[in-house]
Amino acid sequence: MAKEKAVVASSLKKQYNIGETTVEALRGVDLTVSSGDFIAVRGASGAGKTTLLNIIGGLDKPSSGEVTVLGHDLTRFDELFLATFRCTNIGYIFQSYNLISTLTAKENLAFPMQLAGWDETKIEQKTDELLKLVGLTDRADHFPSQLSGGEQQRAAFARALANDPLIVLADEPTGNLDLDTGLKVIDILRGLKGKKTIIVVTHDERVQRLADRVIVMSDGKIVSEG
Amino acid sequence: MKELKRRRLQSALTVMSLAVCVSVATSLVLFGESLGVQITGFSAGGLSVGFSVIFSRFLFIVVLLSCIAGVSVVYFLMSQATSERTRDIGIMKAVGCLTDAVFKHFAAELLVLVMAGCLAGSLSGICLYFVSTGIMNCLGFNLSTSIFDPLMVLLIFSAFAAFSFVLGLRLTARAARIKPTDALAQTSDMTEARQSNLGASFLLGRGLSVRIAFRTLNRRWSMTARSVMCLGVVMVLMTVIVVGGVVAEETMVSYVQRAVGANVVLVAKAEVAERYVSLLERFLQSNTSGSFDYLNAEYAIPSSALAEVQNVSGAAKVDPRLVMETTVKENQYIYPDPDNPGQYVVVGSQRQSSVIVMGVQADSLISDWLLVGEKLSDGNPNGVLMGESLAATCFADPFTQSFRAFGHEFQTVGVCLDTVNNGMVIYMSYEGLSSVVNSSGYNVFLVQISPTNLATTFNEIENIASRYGLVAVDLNQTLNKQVSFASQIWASILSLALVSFLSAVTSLVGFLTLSVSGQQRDLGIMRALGAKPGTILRVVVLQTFILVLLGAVFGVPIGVAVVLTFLIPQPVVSVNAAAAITLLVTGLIAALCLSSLYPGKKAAQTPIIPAVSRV
Repeated sequence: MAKEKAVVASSLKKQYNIGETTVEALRGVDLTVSSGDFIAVRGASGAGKTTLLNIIGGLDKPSSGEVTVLGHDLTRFDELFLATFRCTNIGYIFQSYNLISTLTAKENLAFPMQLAGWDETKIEQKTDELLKLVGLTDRADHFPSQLSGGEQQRAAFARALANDPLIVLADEPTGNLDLDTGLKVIDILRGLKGKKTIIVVTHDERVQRLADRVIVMSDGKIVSEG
Repeated sequence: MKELKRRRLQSALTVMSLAVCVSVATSLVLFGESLGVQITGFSAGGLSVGFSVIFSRFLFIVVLLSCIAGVSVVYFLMSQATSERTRDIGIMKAVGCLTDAVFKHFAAELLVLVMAGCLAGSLSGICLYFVSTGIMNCLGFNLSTSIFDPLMVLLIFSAFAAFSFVLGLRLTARAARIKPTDALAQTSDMTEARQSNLGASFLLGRGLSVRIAFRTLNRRWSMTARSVMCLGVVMVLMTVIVVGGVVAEETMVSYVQRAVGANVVLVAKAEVAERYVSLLERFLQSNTSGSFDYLNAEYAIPSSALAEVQNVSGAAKVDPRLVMETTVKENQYIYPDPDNPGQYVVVGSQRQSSVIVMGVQADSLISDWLLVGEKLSDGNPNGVLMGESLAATCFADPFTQSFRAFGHEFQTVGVCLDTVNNGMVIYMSYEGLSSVVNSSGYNVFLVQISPTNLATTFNEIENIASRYGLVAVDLNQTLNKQVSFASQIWASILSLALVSFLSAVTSLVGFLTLSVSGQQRDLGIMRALGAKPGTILRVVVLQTFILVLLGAVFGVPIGVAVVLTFLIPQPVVSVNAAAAITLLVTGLIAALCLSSLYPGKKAAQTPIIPAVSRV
């Protein structure tokens, strides 16, 4: 039986204007990802990997082309819809962690659940579970500035899983981590494989080996897939 | 310059807010000078000393508070700007820049910002002064722009530039000494972040926006404290303007009403009545007139006329007076100097002045002045009440010094705020006066009519008066003129206060925008995680609301205390005035909160990717 399509991108183009210069970040990307697939995306710096992830995650809009995620054409919706969509369907792990600086690790994890309107008991239960999963139980009440890079990355990972999203997008999740912490993250990814649709931008070969497909991007295009 | 251009918003806001502070201080001082001269000129020698003191105190406090508010805003902006650069400082030091070089780099940036802000402020302040003066003149005033003082502008420019630069340097020096590791570890806007989880239990069960707003303020504690301090000063200024404006006007009107009396009819011979009204109108403008023989036998009022008026049913009180003119001479008061045995202290310089003297019956007095000292009593023929202008211009210490008039010596028992002859007046018992001038009989009497049947009673009194060849003059017209005169002056002073309030709001919007811009990354992350624009807007507005409320908790009571204890003696606060004040203060607090809508909306609409990429 054919799997449901989670992401369909066709002829995606994205241009940025920096002063008088126009940068073409994506130059016509076509991509289809089925539900439960684990996709690794690699490519040189400036190839358009993060831009592609941002567009799939509903954080950015393409200059042209279409992107349908979980059946919704994201180019047609307003910010209000996209906010709800991101909150309930997407778990995003940013390259620079992006934890909210004024909230503790635990509160950062709880934030997406609070946005989704979960009740406090359920939030408490889920945050404890996630903190345990990423090994941060004893750092729960620390603020991001008091956590190491690896701890912040794990907290960001846990936060991405908070609302049980259908799609997990990760931008270099092991890029800044030491070997041990990187292995922990890979273990978590392995545990998610098959249960969630995962798109990971990575140069880590261990992560690429976990993937069902590895996409190579160069100069704003997908140049190989396999 | 390149760095300042890169941080366009922050640079522009710092320059703009500094410019607003300098501009308002410049225009306030220049405009205040013009207006101060105008108050004297407008009243053309009128306006008794006691009333002028209230005006000038109000002006002084508003200008002083505006300068303090300006300084607070500048301090806040400087600390915010320096705090935002902590990470940059860390990076510079991490790549090998010496503390000295870092300090010089930021000092150069600071100098550019301060000079640009102060220069723009001075120029716009001068423009604002000319525009305000033009508007006031269009409204019927006659303000002169010849008072424009370039030295004063230079002084304000130098004071603000020096203060901002020194303050900024102090903050920069402190930031430049920070260890690179500490600087890099800090989030850009949390140099003195609070680590506690204070309020966590209180926040449980509250809405998400409330929790985030409280938590952010608690975490950015030092910034919150500075904002509250800054807003507190703005609130004091705002309260003094609103409460002071309303209460002072009402109190002044009450002083005038108490002195003249409401629903009062003057009965006298036509010449005397005209003269008496002209004496009352000296409060509005000086009117010179030749000598007048008050004691002329033709001006004496027949006792039968007085008795008839006293029997009119609507006449609540009849206050007969013997009015005349004389010269008083201050007596020196000499006493042994307690600090230097054998030496004596001399008080007074034997000044003399022409005054109006009124012989009155203490029990029948209609006037109920604002009084310092004792009331007049019939049992003390040498004790007199003195108008506050006479006390201020002719005596060093009216209560210890005696004075001479009609060849006799008198002692002041009280000083009253009066409008007759612009406060150059003394009241004494009728018996005392008639014995020293050797004349009996009244030449004027005032009748206070009960508010019901005003017209009928007035007609009755007028009929009696005409039968005796006297005239009855309704003093309500004069009273109304005096009240509207006081209101007109207040309106002009409040326009000055309004400028400083607008500057406070502009500065507030500036620092809110800067503060929100410091949180842009966190707000962007929240949106990336699914927070709706409305949630972001609520967080920003709630933060402002909490800050404004905290500022109000400190600022409003201080402002009220300043007004009621220092600004206005024996303030009058009617229920209507209290309601108006509550409404105005609440409205202004709401307006201040609403001022966060712009930065909040801007934060909610900034594209997510640039927001989260912000360092």
